[in-house]
Parts: sequence; C-alpha cells; structure tokens
Amino acid sequence: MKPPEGLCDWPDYTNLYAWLKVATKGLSDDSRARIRDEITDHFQQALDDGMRAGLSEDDAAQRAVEGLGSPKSARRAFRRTYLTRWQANIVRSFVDARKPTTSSSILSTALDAERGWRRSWQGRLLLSAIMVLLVASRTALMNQHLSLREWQLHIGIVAVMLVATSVLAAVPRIFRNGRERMAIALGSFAELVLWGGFIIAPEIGPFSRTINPPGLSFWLAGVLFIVWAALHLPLLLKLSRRQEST
Amino acid sequence: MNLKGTLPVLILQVLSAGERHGYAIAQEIKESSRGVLDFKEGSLYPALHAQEKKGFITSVDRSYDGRRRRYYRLAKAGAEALDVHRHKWRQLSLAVTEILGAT
Repeated sequence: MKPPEGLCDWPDYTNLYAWLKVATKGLSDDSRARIRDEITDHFQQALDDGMRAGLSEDDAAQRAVEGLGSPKSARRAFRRTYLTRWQANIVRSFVDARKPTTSSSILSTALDAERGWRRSWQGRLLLSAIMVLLVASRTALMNQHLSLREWQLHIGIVAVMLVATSVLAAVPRIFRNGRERMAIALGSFAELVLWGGFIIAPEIGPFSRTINPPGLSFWLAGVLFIVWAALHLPLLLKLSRRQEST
Repeated sequence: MNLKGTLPVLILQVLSAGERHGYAIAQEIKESSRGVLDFKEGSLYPALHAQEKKGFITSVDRSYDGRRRRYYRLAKAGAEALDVHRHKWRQLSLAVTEILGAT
C-alpha cells in the first residue's frame, strides 16, 4: 500500500496506512492531514517504545497499530467532530463567494461570469438575480392568463426569491463575523428557497393545469427537500453541537 | 475497564498538570490508573479534537525529532469544566459508596 501523501520517506508500515485510510475515509483533506500527522507521530512513539522494550521492528509496529484499536470506531468518532468532504464543500461554497453555490453553479458554468468580478459577493448576487429573473420571465411566458390571485402568488414567490438572493450574498460576511452556524443555516435555507421557487412557480397557473401532470412540481419540490435535508441537516447539527459547548 | 464517557474528563485532568502530546496523555491515563483504565489509543484523538472544538483545550504544532508533534494545553473553559466534573463525580462517588457500603 502506498504511504499517504507527505509520508513518502516513511518505511512501508502497511498496517498503519491501512488504519489511517479507513479511519479518515470521507473526511475533508484538512482534517485527514491533521489526523494523519498526529496518528503517525503517535505510532512512531509507540514503535520506538516497543523496540526499546526489546521487540523487533515488525512486532513493535504490529503492536502499535493494534493499540490504536478499530479504525471504524475511530472513523465514527472523527465524523462526529469533523466535517466530511461533502460538508466541507458546502461550507466552502457559502464562505468563499467566488465558488458557486449549488443553485448558481449551473449559471456560473454557463456564463463563467463570477471569476471576473472584483468583489465576489457581486458575482453571487448577479447569478442569483439572473435565476430570479428566469423564474419571473418563465412564469410570464408560460402563464399568459393568470388570475389576480395567481399573479399575487407569483409576485410573492419572486419576492421571497429576491430576499433569498440577498441573504445568499450576505452569508460570507456573516460567516467572517464569527456567526458560523447562522451563516450556514441562512445560506442553506436561501438555497432551498431559490430552488423551491424555481420548481414551484410554474405549477401555479392555467398552463400547469392543462399541460403538466398535476402536482408534478410539488413532487419535485418534495424530492428537493429530502436531498437538501440529507445534505444540510447533518452539517447544521454538527455545527450546532460545536457552538452549544463553547 | 470500559472508559465510555469518562475519557474527555480524564484528558482534562491529565492536562491540568501541564502541556502534553497525545501519546503522553494516553500513557499517563493508563499508568495513573495502574492499568485498570485501558482503552484503545485510536479513540483518544477524536476525544481530544472534540475537546479542542469545544474550546476546553488548545493545541500547538511543534517539531520533535524531525517530525511534527501536536501538544495540548488546558484552556480556562476546560479548567472550569473540570471543576464541575470533579464536584459531580465526588457527589456520585459518595452516593454510590453509601449505598454499596450499607449492604
């Protein structure tokens, strides 16, 4: 087995590398690097002690790895403290506004506009605003004969999406001010609102009543909510546990 | 003996005597309990890192024998938490001793 990156000059302690691989699986690169450095230092110290006690290098290495216990148990425990790679990506997408969030990623790929902006929040604002505009124009094109109540609903949805856009633009600043949990929670909800609005808006009006299978968009919104909850809720719970205890 | 739930407090107690690295913390817990409290050392690091995230301990990276080693130190919040745990433990211990001693 290849030694982890940064440990190329190490002897071939296969068991240690296998232990580290299992224990740190799925964690973000930063977390993996920190755990790897500490565990290898621990291992080296245990190895030295074992050899001083008269064991051969192989036996001492074997005993040192056995002393670490089950890597799967360690992984479960590390996952309670550290963000997984997915969760770290979500946080990064909110904090570093130059990176697109999920809702704006399709547009940013198509336009490649975000990188050109000097102030990163302006890029995010622009992309989210385009998304809101798309919803508004899609609504107008697809539903020519809306009743007053339906128009009010559409205007309401677009207004909520505009608020979500502003929130999304403010998230990096909130995060930098030390309100980590609030920033991620707001960003997550803003994303949900943007996608939700995009899916549900066309459902309201005569076009959806005649062409779309009834309720299709609401099913899609349900799936969206489940995906959102699976990705974001564990992250929010993890951040909340950290803040409660400090 | 199973250490479940008590490892974080034992870590704080060891660090109340001064700065230590992970391996030294593990050895000290085992030696201080004369081998009664045994645990797999891989479980020490998640507990250490969790205590650090809670702000109970701080850590610093230093070079040792050509490799990086992380040293931990008790923070003020950790010292306060340790006092609370000690008080609770004494109360629990007294209560259990009373009950067991009476039979």
